[in-house]
Amino acid sequence: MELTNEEVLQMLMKWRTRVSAAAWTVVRDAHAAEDIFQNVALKAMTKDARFESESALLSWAFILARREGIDWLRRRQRETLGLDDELLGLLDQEWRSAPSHPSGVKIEALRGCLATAPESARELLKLRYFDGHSCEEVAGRMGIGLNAVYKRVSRLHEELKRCVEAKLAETERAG
Amino acid sequence: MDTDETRRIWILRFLEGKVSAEERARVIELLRADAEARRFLRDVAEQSVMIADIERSARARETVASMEDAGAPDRRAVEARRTRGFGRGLVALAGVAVLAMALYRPWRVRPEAVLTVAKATGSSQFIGAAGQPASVLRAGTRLRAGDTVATRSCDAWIELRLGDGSAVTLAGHSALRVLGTDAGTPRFSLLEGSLWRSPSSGPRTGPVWIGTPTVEAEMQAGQFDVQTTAAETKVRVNQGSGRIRQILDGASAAIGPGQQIAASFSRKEPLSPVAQPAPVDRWACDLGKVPEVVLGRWLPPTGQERARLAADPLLWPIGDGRSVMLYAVAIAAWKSSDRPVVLHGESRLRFRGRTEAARTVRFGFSSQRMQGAFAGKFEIDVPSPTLGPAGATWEVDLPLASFRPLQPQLAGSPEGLELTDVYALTLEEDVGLEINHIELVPDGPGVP
Repeated sequence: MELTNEEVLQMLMKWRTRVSAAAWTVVRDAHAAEDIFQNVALKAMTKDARFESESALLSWAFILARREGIDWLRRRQRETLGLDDELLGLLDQEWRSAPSHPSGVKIEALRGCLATAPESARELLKLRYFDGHSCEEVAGRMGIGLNAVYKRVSRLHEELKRCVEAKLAETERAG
Repeated sequence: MDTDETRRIWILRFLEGKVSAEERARVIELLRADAEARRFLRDVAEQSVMIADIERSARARETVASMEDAGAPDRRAVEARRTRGFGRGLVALAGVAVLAMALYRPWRVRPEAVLTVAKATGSSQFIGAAGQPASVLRAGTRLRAGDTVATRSCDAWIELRLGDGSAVTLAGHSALRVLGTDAGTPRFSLLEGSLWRSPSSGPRTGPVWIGTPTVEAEMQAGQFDVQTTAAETKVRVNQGSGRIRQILDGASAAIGPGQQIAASFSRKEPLSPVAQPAPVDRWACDLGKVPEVVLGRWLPPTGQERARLAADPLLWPIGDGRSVMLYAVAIAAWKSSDRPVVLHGESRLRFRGRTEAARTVRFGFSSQRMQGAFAGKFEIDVPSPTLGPAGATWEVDLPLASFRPLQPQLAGSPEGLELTDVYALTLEEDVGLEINHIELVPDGPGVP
């Protein structure tokens, strides 16, 4: 039984963050990753292929997101990270098999976690991931050492992961 | 620092490309062998796209709040414009879903689609070949012979995809009609405004034919831009080549990379390509010389000012039957300077003008890559206390670095971009915005 266009759309929206993240691992630019997701969704709705299941759709979406990411790099003559197809495929597989929550729910959880984080932490993450500055540029702007920036970014990612998981668990219990 | 943290920092440096070849190989091996390292990489990727999403939403809310302070009453109307991502994507995709289902109806015989709308931002319009209008253009709309698309506001732009994967971008106050294909070559008529063509990332970018009121351009692949009014056209080629035929006298000339051709109904010189001139980083729009006004109306001179431009109203449909009224003045920089105007982060845009009532004024400019494609728009809102008392002439010096990029994925900063047009506007209410001077001031030594 083929998925209808509405089902395809709903599934892609549910997996939006992870498909965008798969593109991000290639392009390392959050705005480009968002655009790539939109292109993937557009192609899913307009191309001739049909999807028999969510699994088939996601497999196709992750691969296309990666390919679009590589095209994006080529157009800008930027270097790839050197992650081969096998490793990127492994990441995609783990994304598809890890416990999932709808993208909107996860974003709300992260928003709640960021709201309780110190202002300097939010600023650091904004500079790095929204404005697209390198850690070296962030260090210069915030007047702190480069190693300290790497250490803070590393710890913030871990703290946010724990916080988001706790909030999602809380939501599940409440729901 | 524990071992896990050291590994995480390696991964962060690796993601930035700040590792040696040897370290890169070690990180790749680590990712291959260690599930925990891959888990960290996946978390970084997910969190970064979500952080960007949250920040975009926050900025949209700030914009709405600042405009509400200035008397713009419709929060949802403005937010709908600013917020990209989930909501916009959903709406766009819902439109695509409906469109896709419509296309599957076997009894509908329609001409082959020549272009597909990939992105549409700001006020845009679609007029179908059969005359059916749509006030909001959506991603996924397929354009066929006879269809016309137009960008109707200062900050609007549309990205269109051709069958070969190349892109055509329309921005500002522009209108493009699809004429169809001839022996596989897509044919368009650029009725007014600016168009950029970017090559595809694939192996082959095909030729296109573009007509304007003054020229016919057969362009072979490559990257080029066309800017036109009812009486004048400029074509600049950065990659590839083309042949331009002037409608006035039928004269034609070949054009190659790094060259431009200007044609107009009043032109006396023979049509010939010239090298694109070196850019300048200082530009002043002399209103006394009656420059190309994209939007606005002339007011009688006063004792102090020889020329003044007053904002013109513009109805901006934003979907769901709702519209926002803009009052805007816009000037085409390409028509006001013989040389490309290059932007630097430390340069400033100086505006002189007045409003009859105290309101926030939004200033903005459009840009393109030097010898390249459309690079997006940048805006800043200046609250009325900064401008000065209502009715008095004010002058503001706005550092380009303080303008926010509306399409950060195209260019996060104006540094090194070329200025294409400049605008000022108020939202919702006509407060008598007038502009009598616009100038780009470099903050350092100028480009010779």
